[in-house]
Amino acid sequence: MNTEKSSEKSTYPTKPLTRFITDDDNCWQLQEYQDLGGYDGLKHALTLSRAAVLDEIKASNLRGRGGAGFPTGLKWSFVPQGDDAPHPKYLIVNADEMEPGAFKDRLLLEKTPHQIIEGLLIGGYTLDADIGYIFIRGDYYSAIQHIEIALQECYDNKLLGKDILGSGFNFEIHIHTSAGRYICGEETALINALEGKRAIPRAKPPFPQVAGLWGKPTIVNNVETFCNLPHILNFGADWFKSLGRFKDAGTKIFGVSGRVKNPGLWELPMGTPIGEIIEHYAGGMSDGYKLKGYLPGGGSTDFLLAKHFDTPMDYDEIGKQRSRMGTGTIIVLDDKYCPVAMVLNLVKFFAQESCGWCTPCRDGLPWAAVLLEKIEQGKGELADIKQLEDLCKFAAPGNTFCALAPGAVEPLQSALNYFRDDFEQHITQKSCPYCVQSCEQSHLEEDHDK
Amino acid sequence: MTLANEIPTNETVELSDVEKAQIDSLLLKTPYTSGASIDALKIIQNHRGWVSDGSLLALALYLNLPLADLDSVATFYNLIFRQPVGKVVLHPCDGISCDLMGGQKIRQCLNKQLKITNGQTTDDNQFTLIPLPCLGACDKAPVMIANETLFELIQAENLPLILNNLIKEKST
Amino acid sequence: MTNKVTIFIEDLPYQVADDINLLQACLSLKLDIPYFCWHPAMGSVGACRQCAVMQYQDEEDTRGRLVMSCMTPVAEGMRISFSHEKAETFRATNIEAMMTNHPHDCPVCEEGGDCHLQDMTLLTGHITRRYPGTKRTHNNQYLGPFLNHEMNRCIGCYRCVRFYRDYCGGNDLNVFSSKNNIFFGRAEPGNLENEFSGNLAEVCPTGVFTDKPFSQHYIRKWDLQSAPSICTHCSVGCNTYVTERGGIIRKINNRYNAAINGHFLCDRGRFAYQHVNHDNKLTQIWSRAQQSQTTHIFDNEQAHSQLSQWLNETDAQVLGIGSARSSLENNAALHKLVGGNNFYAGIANNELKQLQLLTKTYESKQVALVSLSQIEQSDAVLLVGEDVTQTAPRLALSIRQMTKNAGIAQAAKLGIKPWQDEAVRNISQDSKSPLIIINTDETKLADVAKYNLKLAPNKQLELLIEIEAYLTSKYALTPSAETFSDLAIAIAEELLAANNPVVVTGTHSFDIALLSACLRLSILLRKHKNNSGFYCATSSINALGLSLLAQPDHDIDNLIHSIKSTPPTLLIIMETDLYRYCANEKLSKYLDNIKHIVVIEQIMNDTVKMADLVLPAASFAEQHSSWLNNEGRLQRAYAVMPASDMRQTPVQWLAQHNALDDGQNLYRYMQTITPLLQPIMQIVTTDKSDFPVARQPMRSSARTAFFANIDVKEYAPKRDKKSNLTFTMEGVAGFRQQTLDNSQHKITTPVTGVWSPKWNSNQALNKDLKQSSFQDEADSSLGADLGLKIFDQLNSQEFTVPAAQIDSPSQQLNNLSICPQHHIYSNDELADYSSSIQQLRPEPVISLNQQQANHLSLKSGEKLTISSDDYNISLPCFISKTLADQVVLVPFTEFLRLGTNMHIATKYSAGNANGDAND
Ligand SMILES: Cc1cc2nc3c(=O)[nH]c(=O)nc-3n(C[C@H](O)[C@H](O)[C@H](O)COP(=O)(O)O)c2cc1C
Ligand code: SF4
Ligand code: FES
Repeated sequence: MNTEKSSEKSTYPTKPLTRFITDDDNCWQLQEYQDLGGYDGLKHALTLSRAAVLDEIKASNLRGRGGAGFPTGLKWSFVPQGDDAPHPKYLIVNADEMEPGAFKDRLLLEKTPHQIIEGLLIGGYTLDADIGYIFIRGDYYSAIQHIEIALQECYDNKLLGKDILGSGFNFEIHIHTSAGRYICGEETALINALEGKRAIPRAKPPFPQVAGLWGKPTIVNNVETFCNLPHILNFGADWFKSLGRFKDAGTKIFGVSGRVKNPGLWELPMGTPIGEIIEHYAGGMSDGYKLKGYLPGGGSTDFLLAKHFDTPMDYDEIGKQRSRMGTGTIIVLDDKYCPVAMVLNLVKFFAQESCGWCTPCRDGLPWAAVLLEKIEQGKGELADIKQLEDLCKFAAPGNTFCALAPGAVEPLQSALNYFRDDFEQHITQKSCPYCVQSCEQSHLEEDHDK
Repeated sequence: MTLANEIPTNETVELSDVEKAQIDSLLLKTPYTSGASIDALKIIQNHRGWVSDGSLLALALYLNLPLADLDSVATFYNLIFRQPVGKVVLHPCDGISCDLMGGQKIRQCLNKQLKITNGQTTDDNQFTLIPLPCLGACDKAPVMIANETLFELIQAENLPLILNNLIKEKST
Repeated sequence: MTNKVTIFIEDLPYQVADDINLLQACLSLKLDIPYFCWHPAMGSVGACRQCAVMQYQDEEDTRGRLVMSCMTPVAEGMRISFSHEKAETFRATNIEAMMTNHPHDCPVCEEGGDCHLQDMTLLTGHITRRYPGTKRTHNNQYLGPFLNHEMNRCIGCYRCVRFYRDYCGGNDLNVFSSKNNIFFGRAEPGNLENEFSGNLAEVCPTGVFTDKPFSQHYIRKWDLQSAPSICTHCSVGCNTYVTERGGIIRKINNRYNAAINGHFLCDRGRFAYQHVNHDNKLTQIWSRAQQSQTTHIFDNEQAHSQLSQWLNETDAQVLGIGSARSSLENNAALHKLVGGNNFYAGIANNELKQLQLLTKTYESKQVALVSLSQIEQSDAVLLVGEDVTQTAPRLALSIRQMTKNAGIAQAAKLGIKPWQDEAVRNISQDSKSPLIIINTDETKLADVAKYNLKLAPNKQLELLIEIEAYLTSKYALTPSAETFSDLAIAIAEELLAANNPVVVTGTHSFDIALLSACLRLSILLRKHKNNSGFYCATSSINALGLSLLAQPDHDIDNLIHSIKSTPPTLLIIMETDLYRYCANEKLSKYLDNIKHIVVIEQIMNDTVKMADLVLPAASFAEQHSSWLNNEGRLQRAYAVMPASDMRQTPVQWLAQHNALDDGQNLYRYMQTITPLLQPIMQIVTTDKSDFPVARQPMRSSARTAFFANIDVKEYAPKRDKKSNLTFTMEGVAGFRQQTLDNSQHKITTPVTGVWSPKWNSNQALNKDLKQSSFQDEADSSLGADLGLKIFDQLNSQEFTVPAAQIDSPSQQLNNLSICPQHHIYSNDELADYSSSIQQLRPEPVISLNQQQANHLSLKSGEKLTISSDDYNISLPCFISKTLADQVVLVPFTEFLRLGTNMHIATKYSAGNANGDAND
């Protein structure tokens, strides 16, 4: 982990999100956070008017880090303001991180809980909100523990509760640990989960900004999105914009997993080319492995190839290559792992995690999984490929109730495009060309339904 | 191993005072009782390992929520167990990043060593095997969670030791 | 009011209502758009994705995008394509995906032929199965006597849970698990608790929930003969289709009526029909020879000559008892035979008084009689003294819908339409239009009520009088010197704040003072708010109709009084079991003094056993009949099968003797009894139109084989001379006939079932409905099918509702009120003969609260005795946590028999705060 110490506000950091992360084990505690300049952003914000803070956030061009890249300031501006706005208003940190291959929020949650709380408080002040929730994945035990302690520290130090830092601003934060389902990451499903319901996505309109948790105005943002706020307030929108190497502003935590020499996470400027991340930071492929392709932004993004290495990690630029930035965590497929098996793993995951509400997702994904399994076992027919293509179109964006199923078929549709030979080889050869053994293993594994 | 239809029924369960106190504190935070249901289910599970029909009913009565509503929620989530589990629940990751790094082999070794398939509990009730998708530690693949601990960069050879320690930890 | 907008479908312009969604708009244009999760009463949630169409931004846009038509509001100039290849492929794949887990069991599935899923599958053209995997399987559950459960057939449309939970407020059915493993059922097997569960058989698009009693005498839909009918099991008058084959009633289906039942029936209405098939139904004429104490079977001719002989005896003194569960025709025929002076209504004195008070008030037009759909659209309901879930269940469902209006209004402020169901629910959370319940015990509407007051009847009355006084002073704008309780003020303010508050009550409390108070309150509100309404549930389907024919005090109590002092020579009892009203021995003694007793009845009961001549009466299913429901709505029902010579309608039995042998005369006679029945001619279709309507569907099979076990000849179908329905498949069928205007009056040709080309399931209705985002009855294209409201047709009469006296009739002893307890499955005489309903009948108990139990030193389950002049009941007591203080509830049937003079026989020490002396 590349970290940077900066205790002085005057030094403008280049890696703001991780600037509080030190090698010592206590960096998540209030004392150390404050020593390094923590809560300065909040303090500054509290001296400004609400509208001024929102303007600063809008000016920073911060885009949501949860996957869709929606401009944060714009999203916030839909929240009703003023004396007759409904209350309580809610602000929710989406820390559900269950996307396959995504592991960036865990770092922030474990190491910088105060950074998240500070972001949440800034948001709370800006939107005149009353209650914050941290909706965290239930398996992130040490993160949960750290956040619980951090919250207590805040209550003990007038950073939470009534009249925060003497500003007259009141704010509560609750933590909710998820009972585990990928769909909980979808913001409206998350809201249903917080209401103690089945996490089924909600119909929009109304958008949560207007009617969300318990029918009240609600903002949901990713952990990393919130973490940017203290720094934007601290160092200004212009500084933030200047961080990006291409069009998008700020830095981002990028990650690489798979058969690379040095898998891990790095805070890098937005717009860092994909090739640089994989080759330079992740150290390139492990010895004996070649790169076949990669999912640039987690398990629900389309495959890209080595030829796309020059593409900057910028929302629109990756979009132009027909993939997505997603979570910014790259999953690398090597030449020894069967692409069909990889897609099967992913589609099975998404089929398993479907909430069961809409047909294309609930019944279409398991159907695709059955076909992929058939092909992978060497029992496929060429017509199955056509069926898979049909199913990809079937679950296209707009056809389903939420973005789960469209995301689910992204790796599949791009694999059918880039690795079609592999699919056909399975069929003509009636077995997996990669590793006959590894395929049989997958049949041993039964669905772990309860 | 325990089969679904062996779930004991007609048991009468009383919530303990600790459970009640924990649930009461949840209720303070939510404007509607239903908002506490998932957390309350997790509290029950923390104390009892799983949520039996009897404890579900006890909870429904305590929260004054319809039993069907609570069960509808309980059966939706992956980490609420409506069937008994062993002392230690093993969650090896079956996400793609772990599989790329040989996660499948680890799970297979577990199957072999424990002589159970996924979702099952060993005859001696020590282990239940429930693979979970991507545990969010992809740079340390393959990984597994058990006893609230994350095991990183697992190697098949180390599994017996890990399992042994887990049971020891639970027994003390 | 809805306006029209122009939308373009495949580039052609169409006019559609502007407040609906695209799916509704297309259906109203008769386009065959497939759908599953949408339902006209439950709105849209966008789950099934079956209703996809292409939408284009403008004329230039050639790419378009797929939208779910149920989730898309119509808008002026909107351009869509239904047949675009992309949309077609998507819809076909969608159903193919649904079918990956649906078994291919149509031949053994009871839904087959009446299946929305079959229809939609054919519509989308999905024929061959490509899916190579196995299908998931589920265990089924026992769900009680009304429904079968076959979960493997589920296609996950969520209509069942949305209906059961969101629409009906039921909480014991839900969805479990997730992904393609979702399971719809109960947490554990057991009876479904909600009173509307039977609708699931119609709501489910396939065969997951099917009608269990129907299974026991199952017939394919296409072989069912069907006729439009009226439910005769409470005073609401829901519209039904009754279906038959081989003389057995097979099942009851909902018949859409925008003003009353809409899409749903209650379970009593749906399943009570089994009495028509019951072994105890009367099918033979019995005569009892007094001297020899023997019984004989008579033929039709013998019966008539016997009756004629008794009627013409020189000293003949004839009294008749009419019935609240028999049609207007039957009652009028008896009325004519015995004369108005000798015609007694088969109901208790107390009830007749209430009914006649209602009629007088209705005639004065000081209250506005509202329909169920108007209640659904109102914004506040004050519900007094009636547990409507038990006595008029469909009314309770409408009141429940009313409470949602506040949320709908809240959503409207954010631009959300009422049909955007899930959005409305998320926005509204727990905000509800005020429902104020004043009753002795908690009711099943408690979960949606703003005020849930449990008070003894005299306390209820006090509160109402106080509310009335407060409102009077408010309206008079002169501050009153009186002081009012906070409660009265709060309730009155709710009523003041509402635009169209409705006062709902019923006659089941047997408390005339309470009824007067409700009427007075409603009159007061109406004076100041033209939109405020009134609704009163009465005891039986034709109770109000019967009360119009009966002279004051011509009721059972007075009849018994009269036969006790001067027994008539001939008593004709029509469809009334006197033993329900009068204690056993006493009544038998009186009846023994009567020379001849003729009983016209459908089914064996104690009164029949006392008859000298038993004339079996046709059931509702065997007669064309007219019924007046509690709002004064006159409705027509048609026979689904012909009556037999041995089992005729009372009209037919009496026709030879009362000189009213032809139908027209009977109706003209009705008009002479009371001007209120003037409109009767308008609903009676005696004209022969050019279009006979077939009771059998066009697809009917095996007609010639039906009696093949007896004779291979085809039997001539029965002729129906009294309506233009045929008992065959010859005639127009299935689609709704336009109202014909033959310049004198409008005739609506009855429709015997719903059907639309390609739509064989009940969802065909939605092709026929005038789609609107709310049930707008005045504007309904189904106009005259709504029935005729008789009180609207007359000039108003002067009448003042007497002020209620606080200490009037409720059964007060030592401040203790004995009140009747009602139950949906035990009040109705005929429903008792339905085996599935019997299974849910509660054990009779006497209920009281802990405090009363302490006074009486009673423990739960111990017997308590209640006595009247010469009748006692002794029942185990149930200690209720919800019952008002100073109230004792007695099962309704026992309450009737006990009469007005009842008291607790066990020693009772009133107001002894220190407990009972013998404690
Ligand atoms: C199936 C699904 C899963 C998602 N999971 C997550 C998640 O785990 N974390 C997250 O921040 N956003 C997730 N999202 C995106 C959220 O819906 C939402 O867009 C995001 O939290 C908004 O925050 P942002 O604007 O800060 O990115 C998910 C979306 C979908 C459709
Ligand atoms: S049970 Fe029937 S109504 Fe319910 S979701 Fe399944 S198919 Fe639909
Ligand atoms: S859960 Fe959203 S598409 Fe299925």
